[in-house]
Amino acid sequence: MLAANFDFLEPETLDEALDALFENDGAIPIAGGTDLIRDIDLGKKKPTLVVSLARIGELQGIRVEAGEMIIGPLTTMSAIAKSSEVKTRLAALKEAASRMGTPQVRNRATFGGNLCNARPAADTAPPAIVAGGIMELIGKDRSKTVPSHKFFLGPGKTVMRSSDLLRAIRFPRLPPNTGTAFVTMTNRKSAEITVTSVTARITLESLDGKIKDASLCLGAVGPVPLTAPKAVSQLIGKSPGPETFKKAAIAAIEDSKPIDDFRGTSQFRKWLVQSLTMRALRSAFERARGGEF
Amino acid sequence: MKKLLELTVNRVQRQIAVEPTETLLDVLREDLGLTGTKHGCGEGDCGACTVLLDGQPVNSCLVLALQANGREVTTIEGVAADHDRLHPVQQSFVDLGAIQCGFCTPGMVISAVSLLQSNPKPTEEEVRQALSGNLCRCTGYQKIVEAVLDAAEKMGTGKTGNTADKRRA
Ligand SMILES: Cc1cc2nc3c(=O)[nH]c(=O)nc-3n(C[C@H](O)[C@H](O)[C@H](O)COP(=O)(O)OP(=O)(O)OC[C@H]3O[C@@H](n4cnc5c(N)ncnc54)[C@H](O)[C@@H]3O)c2cc1C
Ligand code: FES
Ligand code: FES
Repeated sequence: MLAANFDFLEPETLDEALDALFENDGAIPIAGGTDLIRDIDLGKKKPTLVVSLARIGELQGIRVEAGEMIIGPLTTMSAIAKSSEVKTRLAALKEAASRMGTPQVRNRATFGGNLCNARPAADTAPPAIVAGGIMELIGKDRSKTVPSHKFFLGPGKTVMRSSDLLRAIRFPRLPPNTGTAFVTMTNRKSAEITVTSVTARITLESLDGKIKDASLCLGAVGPVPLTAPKAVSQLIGKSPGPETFKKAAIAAIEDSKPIDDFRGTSQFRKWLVQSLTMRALRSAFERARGGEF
Repeated sequence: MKKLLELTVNRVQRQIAVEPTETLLDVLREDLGLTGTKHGCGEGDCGACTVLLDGQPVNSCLVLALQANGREVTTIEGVAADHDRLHPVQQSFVDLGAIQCGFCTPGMVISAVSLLQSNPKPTEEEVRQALSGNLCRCTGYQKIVEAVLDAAEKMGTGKTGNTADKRRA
């Protein structure tokens, strides 16, 4: 029994869920519950009503429409890890989802829950950001879209109001000759939170051409997933290869803002930023040349 | 206020009035008396509370009981096809000494059964991966991994006789 007192509702339509969230001040949505149940038990969140999203059909599943990949927020990590669409369109997201938590956690943990919970170490946020993911938000009587890099405001904080829901995450098709990669360092292989992660996207002018466009996102080294403008400026227009990647990796340290905690010191995290940036760029580059995304 | 929960547990349909604050683990252990499923950490780390929810292994300590409404749950009490026969995975755990204190065993067996359903011939690495959400403080894991590989082999060749069968033979 959780040390709390709340009521529970499991509506079948999005409108019912939005009404319940709007009309009840202490209402909180629940997806898989792998973050929320513990937060409730620890008294960090004190809902009076928990609104389960599990039965709302339109929040589920992965589909492709007009070239865009649209992922429902209720899609689990296991489903993302198994999806051929994700594998061929955004390998970095598959990599992040495949290793997160444990098999049991991945069967419950959802993409939307990971993003909305907004931990600095949330593993699926950086792949969403480098791929230019667009967050579709909906509240009672309003809806809007926000680019994923503007969604996060701080640890546990997003642009959403408490009565809003994340409705979908849309990924426009990546340009040709693009590759992505997610690499992370954890203290154990399983059931561990990321100490530092780096996610990269590289777009080449042609298969053996220069870097036309690039994006980097650093995880768990700042209050939100950080884009790395200094590092990216070392990449665009340059020839891809170890020398260029090393310059970018050193610049990425300046883009990071790590703190000390029990998982690692800020100095350790800076070293990780450098070496993981090298690895992420190399892997993204190989994918771009190999026709994988 | 209590609400009605309807779910299938080990192939039996159940209707129970539960508090919204109860977890699936609470209901299994306290309301249904199925104490094979263990309460270890209560935070998703140890896997002692692992059950199958609609066929997939999950941590029952991280599921609200009402989230399981209308769904199907399999606990360690329900993995064997009938009462006087162990599941081949359970039998291999017994035969190969993969159980010491036994606290992790129900969760380990559930994870292993689920693996062998989707992947009947796993490699050692795949077994370790599938069990990576289950902690054991006694065995050092080696014998557990061997037991799962043993069960896979026996299930593959159809040689899944348990000790009861051997005695009869
Ligand atoms: C053992 C363990 C290991 C873990 N390892 C990792 C890891 O390696 N990396 C990692 O990133 N995370 C990890 N996590 C954290 C967690 O599993 C993930 O963040 C997960 O994706 C959360 O999803 P959920 O569906 O369980 O969210 P929930 O717990 O249901 O919800 C989380 C928050 O998001 C809100 N929310 C959910 N969906 C929506 C929506 N559609 N619209 C609006 N708000 C919404 C909820 O109100 C809640 O505040 C781990 C957790 C455990 C227990
Ligand atoms: S008791 Fe559920 S994972 Fe430990
Ligand atoms: S046998 Fe004791 S915890 Fe595994």
